[in-house]
Amino acid sequence: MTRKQRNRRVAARWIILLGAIFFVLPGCSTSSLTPIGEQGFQLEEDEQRIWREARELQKRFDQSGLIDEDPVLHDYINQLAGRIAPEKFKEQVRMEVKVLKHPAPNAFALPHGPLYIHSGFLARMDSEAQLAAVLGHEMSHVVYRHTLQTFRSVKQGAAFTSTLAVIGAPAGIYGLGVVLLGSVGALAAVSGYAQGLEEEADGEGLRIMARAGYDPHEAVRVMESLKTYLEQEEIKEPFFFSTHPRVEERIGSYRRIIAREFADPEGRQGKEEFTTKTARALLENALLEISRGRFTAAQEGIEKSLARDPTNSRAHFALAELFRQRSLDQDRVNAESEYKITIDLEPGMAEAHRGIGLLYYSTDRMKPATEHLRTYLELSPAAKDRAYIEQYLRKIDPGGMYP
Amino acid sequence: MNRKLFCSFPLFLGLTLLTSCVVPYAQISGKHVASSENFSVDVPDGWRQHNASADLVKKLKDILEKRHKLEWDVLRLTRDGLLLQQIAIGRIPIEKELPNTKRKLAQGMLPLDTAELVIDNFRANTNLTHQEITENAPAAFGGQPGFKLHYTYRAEEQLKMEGVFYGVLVGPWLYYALYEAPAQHYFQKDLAVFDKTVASFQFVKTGS
Repeated sequence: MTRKQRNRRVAARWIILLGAIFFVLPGCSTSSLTPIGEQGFQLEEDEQRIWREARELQKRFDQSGLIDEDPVLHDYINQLAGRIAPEKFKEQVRMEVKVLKHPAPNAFALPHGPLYIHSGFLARMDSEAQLAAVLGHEMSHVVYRHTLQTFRSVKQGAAFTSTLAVIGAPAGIYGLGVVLLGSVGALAAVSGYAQGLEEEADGEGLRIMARAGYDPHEAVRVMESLKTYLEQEEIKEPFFFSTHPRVEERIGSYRRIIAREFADPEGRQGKEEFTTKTARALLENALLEISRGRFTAAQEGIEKSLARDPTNSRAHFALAELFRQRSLDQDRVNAESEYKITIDLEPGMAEAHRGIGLLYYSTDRMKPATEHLRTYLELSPAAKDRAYIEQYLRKIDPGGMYP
Repeated sequence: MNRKLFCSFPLFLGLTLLTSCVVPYAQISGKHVASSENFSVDVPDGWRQHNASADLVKKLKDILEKRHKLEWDVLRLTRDGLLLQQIAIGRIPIEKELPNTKRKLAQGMLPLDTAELVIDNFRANTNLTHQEITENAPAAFGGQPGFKLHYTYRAEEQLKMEGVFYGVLVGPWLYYALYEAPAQHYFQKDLAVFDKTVASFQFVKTGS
């Protein structure tokens, strides 16, 4: 079998699985399989195949160029995951959490253990407890073998063929690989399970975070923050977390479980360390949001950073870029002011000179434009956009130093 | 005999019209003038025009639609098939949002800012992976100051594609010409043809 054929087969299997998640198993109940790490757990034959295929998917993620390689963030999240994960589970599964640089608020787990969380989801969080809630939820999908259960339900169901047709048809045969293997957005949907399984993961996730000493109420708060984001940005992508009914389901489910099991919850939130360790990722995510034109979300992220540290020059720069690119009524004035603050805080930041230089150039203030664009080129001699900047400088002064 | 021929003529005409509606490619050559879109361009010898609305090529259309929005193409050319090489020339109304970003084009935008918006839209396309910009430089297009992007990405089944995109803002439109082909073997083969096509691109009326 060629690699191409194998990829298609893997993609087709996952398509079927996703079809089951969204169309065949809406009322699926909780798992009856022995949880991973419990006595009697054994990897079954069909499960071994699922794990093999999931490893292929994992490779695609890891080679996507979207993994955040910051060791500080990676170690922080993985140490947290290691602290909250059940001991027996850790013995059976090689768990690793990776951050994907993607603004969509999402998190998901592959059945053999790897967990992925988007930077856009981290940006919606305010505390370590919220991160623990999300990690606990995703871990629970792995512990209770929800992928295997879903896979088996599909195999037994009569809708096998029609499910493939429903999901596969819009993408076309060549689209299968793209939809499932080539696109992070599509792959992210792997995290969506039937309602019963999601509730099982909600309950176990809350227990995991509570056992580790975190306040379970934080789980509700992160979902509410997500709901606000989806509403304000009018996001309609088919991500599991992004569809309102499902976010509301999560909020309702968390509230019910908290009322039942954690009547008088106590626990820490862990805001300080979370804030410090995720600060860089938060700002980078804000820049991704700017590039997608989601200015409200970007501004919130940047202002969150500035509230933590008003002297953060990168945050002021990000805000200046946001104003310059949005270009509404007062935006140019605000952009100029933010660039000036950035340069006061960090005079050697080349991009800030570039930004304010371009702002002046586009508003015909050629003298300060020349000054800042020249400074930019001095600070960044190998700038990728050097040809543009030199062209603009030539236009301002045809006989100048950039003939 | 004559009567028979006369009677079969409507049938022949009907069949001709019917097939012309679904034929995905049409042979064209020489200077192509798109008066209502205000440009002209020399069609390279041996290349054919693709009709994306043909039902026969729906699957192909679906694949291409994921790469860039087809409704803005005015002219789409290929020699061996669109998956092997294509040149697309068209224009985007600046009041429209690009498919993958809410940022909008605006009249008077600098070529660098316009190029960066096009790049943002390209990078945010979740149908593609491994998007990379290998060149972003100022370039004249139709005699106007615009920009040129050289890029690569991976599409269906991880096939690495390579492309060049010329763009320029003229009035309320972003005019573009793009060339794409699989990076291996095909891209270099027709790059010179594309450069020649771009050099022949002219606005019919300047300043519109």
